[in-house]
Amino acid sequence: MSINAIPGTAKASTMQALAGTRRRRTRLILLGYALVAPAVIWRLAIAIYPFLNTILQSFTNTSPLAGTSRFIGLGNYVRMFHDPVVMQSLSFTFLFTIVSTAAQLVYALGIALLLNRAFRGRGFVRAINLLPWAMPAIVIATASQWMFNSQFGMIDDLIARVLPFRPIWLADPTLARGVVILLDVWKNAPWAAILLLAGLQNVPRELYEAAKVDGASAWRTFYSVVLPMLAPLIFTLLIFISAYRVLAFDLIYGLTQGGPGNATTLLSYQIYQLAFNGLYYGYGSTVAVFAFLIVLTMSLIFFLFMRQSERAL
Amino acid sequence: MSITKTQTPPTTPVSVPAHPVPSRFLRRARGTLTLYGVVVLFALFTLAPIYWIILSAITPISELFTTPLNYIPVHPSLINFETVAQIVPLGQQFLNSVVLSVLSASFSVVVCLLAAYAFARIRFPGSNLLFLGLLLSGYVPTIAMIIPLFQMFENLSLLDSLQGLVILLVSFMLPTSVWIMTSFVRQIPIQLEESAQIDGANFLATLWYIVIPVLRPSIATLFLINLVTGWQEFFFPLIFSRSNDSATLTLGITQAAVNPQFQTVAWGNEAAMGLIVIIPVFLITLVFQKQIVEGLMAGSLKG
Repeated sequence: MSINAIPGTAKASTMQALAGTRRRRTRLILLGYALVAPAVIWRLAIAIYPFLNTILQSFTNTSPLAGTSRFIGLGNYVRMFHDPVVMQSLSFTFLFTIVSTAAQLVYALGIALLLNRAFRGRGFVRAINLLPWAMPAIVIATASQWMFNSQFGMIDDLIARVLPFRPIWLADPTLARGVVILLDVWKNAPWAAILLLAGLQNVPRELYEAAKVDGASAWRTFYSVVLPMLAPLIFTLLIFISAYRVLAFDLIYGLTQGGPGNATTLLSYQIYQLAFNGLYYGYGSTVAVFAFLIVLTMSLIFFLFMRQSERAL
Repeated sequence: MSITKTQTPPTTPVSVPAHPVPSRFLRRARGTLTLYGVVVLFALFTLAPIYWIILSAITPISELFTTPLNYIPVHPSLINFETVAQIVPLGQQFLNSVVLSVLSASFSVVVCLLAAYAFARIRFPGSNLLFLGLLLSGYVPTIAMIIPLFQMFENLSLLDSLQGLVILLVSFMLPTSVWIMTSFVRQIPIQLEESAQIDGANFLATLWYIVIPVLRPSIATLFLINLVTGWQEFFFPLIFSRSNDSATLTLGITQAAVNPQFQTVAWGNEAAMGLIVIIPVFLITLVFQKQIVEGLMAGSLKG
């Protein structure tokens, strides 16, 4: 492009030099594509392509068990909205996503504020904060199965020492849902806490000092100084955490198997059941597309909300 | 409101207003006490389930079923581990878990390093779009692609193979890895590379001789994070493993649950198995705590 701008009187050597830089520039661009190619191709083959296939398959009645694979239009979608099990798991997925995400953020913020303070043994506390993050969800799920057992479990044992009753956690729909959410928060909040701690450490010291000079209370400083500084990070975490709630699977598989009844069946577990126990590939795909649309809508709403509030600040 | 609050209770009329120094001391002492109270509560809440697993793992199964519970093991023993070793092919599964997490972490780090270097340092048409696309593809839930993946791997005869699991796991590590690594590369002062290029080194040589040595701690950090992620993986082995050729320790937990001798859910076995799974990953986490925290933090700052 730049060569066109050069008057005809340009010396041959400059022309050559420019052609050289242009050649180098082209080679650099090609190198750029070559370097990102493995990552892009990997994701295209092992994420995007299968995802597009899910969308296609959601309009079919594919099932290796029945040997069918026919296009049935919106049949599965109509069926889904009349399927009480899917609708119930949808409602729990919403509840789980909202409550767990909110609880994770609040608890994580608490941990981050704690770890940001100076106290004896902080190194130890920072270290143990990583343990739930490193613990496989399937381990905490199976351990909780008997930790919350009404007769021999630790939780009920501790309660029974103070109060004269032993809740039957996993047989009661509400309690079982509570346990699932509690464990999800226990496992995942420490990760968010580390990111929030990084955010806290980025708040300039002068801001705290200014607040102190103005005579602001600790709560006031947090609310008016720290929280606004953290807001972008909190929104990013909100999008990320809520999107990943729909993926929660190991906990349900290892702890409740979706029960009691279908009280704790998250959409991901429901899709797994449909696809790999019932072998309804087509119908399972439909529910999967639906799960994706939920994640997409949720993320978009949060994203727009974030943009809005950033403009307001 | 504020007036009623500052009024001192009638029982202690003298102490507060007259002596500001002890009151400040008291307030600070109370603050410190609250702080340590919260610390202890947090530590208990975090460690209780882990202690519960350890306790159950080293308690003989007959003693697990007591009311009230013993929180200090009366007869600690390794019997549960022996039982588990008979039910579950521990050696094979341990090896599979190691191979899976090490290979996935290695491949993901190499692939994301190449991409990150290009995204951070080369201007090429569509680079922003590709970067964003890679990131956003991470938001598509795995569950929304698992059925075609299963069909695809069935056709490619990649079911029940570690290679297949590595291919899957790397793909799902890439979006966040590319993000974190790109932010790492952007933190390197570009003058380092510029001075190298003036010396005539080309781009790949710069990557190899300048960028990678500088990035070594970051590479190790990301490797560790992905190693821990890979070790925890349960969903892919559950669906794609068919035999112990590719079963991981996380799958072994579900196998250990049923004790063929008693035909009951054997909690002691599950606990022992759980401990076997978490010990290696806890060791890595605690030893490399600093690096891991740094890596996790690096992802957030550019957010």
